[in-house]
Amino acid sequence: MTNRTARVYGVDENTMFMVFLKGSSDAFSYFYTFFINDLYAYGIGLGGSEDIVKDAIQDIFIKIHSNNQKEFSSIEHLKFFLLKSLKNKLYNIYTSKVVSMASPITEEALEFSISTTVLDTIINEEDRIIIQQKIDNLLTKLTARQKEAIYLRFIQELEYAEIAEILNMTQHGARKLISRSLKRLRGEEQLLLIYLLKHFCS
Amino acid sequence: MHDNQFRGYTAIDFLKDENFLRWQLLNSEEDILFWKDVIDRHPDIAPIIEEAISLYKSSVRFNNFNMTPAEISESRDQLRYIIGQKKKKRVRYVALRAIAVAACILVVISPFLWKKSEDVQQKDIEAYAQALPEVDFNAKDTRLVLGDERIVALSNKESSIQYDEDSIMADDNVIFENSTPSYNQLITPYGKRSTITFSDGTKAWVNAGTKLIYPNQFSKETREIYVNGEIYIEVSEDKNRPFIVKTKRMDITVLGTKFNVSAYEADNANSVALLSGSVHIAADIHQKDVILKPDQLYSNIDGKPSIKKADASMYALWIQGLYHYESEALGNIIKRLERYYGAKISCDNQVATLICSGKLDLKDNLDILLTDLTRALPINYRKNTEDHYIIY
Repeated sequence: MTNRTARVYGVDENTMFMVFLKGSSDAFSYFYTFFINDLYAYGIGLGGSEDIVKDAIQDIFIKIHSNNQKEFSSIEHLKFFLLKSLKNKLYNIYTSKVVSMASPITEEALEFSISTTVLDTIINEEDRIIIQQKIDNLLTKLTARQKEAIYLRFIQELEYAEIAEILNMTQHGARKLISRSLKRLRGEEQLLLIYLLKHFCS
Repeated sequence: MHDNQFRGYTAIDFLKDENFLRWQLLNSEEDILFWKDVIDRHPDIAPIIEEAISLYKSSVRFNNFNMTPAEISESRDQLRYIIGQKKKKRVRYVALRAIAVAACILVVISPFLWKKSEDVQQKDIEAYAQALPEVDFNAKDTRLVLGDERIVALSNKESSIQYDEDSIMADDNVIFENSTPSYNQLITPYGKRSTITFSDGTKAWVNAGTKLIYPNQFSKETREIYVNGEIYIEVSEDKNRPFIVKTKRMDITVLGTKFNVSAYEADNANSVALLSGSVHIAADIHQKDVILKPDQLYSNIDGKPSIKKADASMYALWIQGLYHYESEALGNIIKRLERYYGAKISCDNQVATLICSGKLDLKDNLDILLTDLTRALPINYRKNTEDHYIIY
């Protein structure tokens, strides 16, 4: 006979989510560990310090536990809510700090940055550095908001409507922000010029 | 234009190519079309591109900030602790305001009620039940005793327990059960009631002062539970798996029906009232087995069985908070009330032998109820202490 406890924890997250909606504290812990690194990475990306981000994540989970554990329509919805809550929480912490130091709140509050890591797998170090630089070159062409939009869209896989809500803009605006960043990365005119030159020279 | 561009490229070369990186990064329509075109024209480099993609996916990370597993489990434990504290505070607050029921659950590991269970799956439920120590029905909380030594204390006046495939819902909480076959116990003390729904859909209403023992999963052949006390049960039909309600003095075997069993081991009178279907009752080996029909009442008083016609639904009224009694000795009625309210009611023998019929609303508090009784019968009562009444 297999041990059912092990099997329960081996179930997919959809099953776990059903149990979560019933108010299970086991499933609650499960989703805490399930999302913690996504949230942690996003929080650090927003410029939060490690300790502040960790505390903020705990706070939002405590809030969910006492208020609305049963109100989520899907795992994606839960994830979106967590990311959004984390940003709000960090924003509040940041602005209250700024106010207490009597300096004005700036637009740069929670500027998002993306740092690239090429894992030490089978690629040798020299190549890793080059690859990382190439990616960083692409990313530096983007504004902080574009980076955040791209990160939420392509790394966290949120919907445009959700990104719009987190970035406090319209859905149309969010789409435009991302399509403009695509254009920026492409540097369309520039590329065309290079191709033409290459073509004529060869 | 790009005919020559990627010739001789290795996977690493692709990872250094801006076009490739942008494709991987943003997956835009233009890039998808561009690379589809490249692969269509040069099928020979397709495997190298594929290799490059999987290399990208396994190696490139953005904002790769992670908490270590140790940090995560530490913070998770911390979170659990904070939530536990909050819950306790909330419960205290609720209790303070005397608002009906606190949805509090305490999982306490308490070895004294626990019986070793290594080979429990082989062991007969009756033998298992007999070997258990006596329980204290004067306890405050309803207790759910799980197979892994956990005891879940439920403070609601009326608790509801539901066995799902992988978990147990007990009031507001979900408990994951260890799957090793074992017996669980539901101990409903005096003054409380509970309902339990088994994984086969069978539902039992459990009256005060009742111990119910059942396997955490029914076997493939039979569904057996053991009762010391009173339950009203609606058994889900399963022709291949008879349902057997075992008690100290009789076994009731059914396929799918509704009936009430009153089998308090402390009482000398046990009974089965059948609402629908049919049941098979095996009592003492010296007695003939009995098949009960709807609206028949089987009683066994001091080992002497009898069957009479009765409106069986009257015997299940307690689940709606009503108590119907017909030609019943007051002593027995008082015994029921003691259990139902978790109070002590004393009376002398003369009063106890008064025979009466009627209906009591158990939703009333005991004072109102006893006052009603004194109006209908030649008796009086006084209250000695909060939980002790004397009828004379």
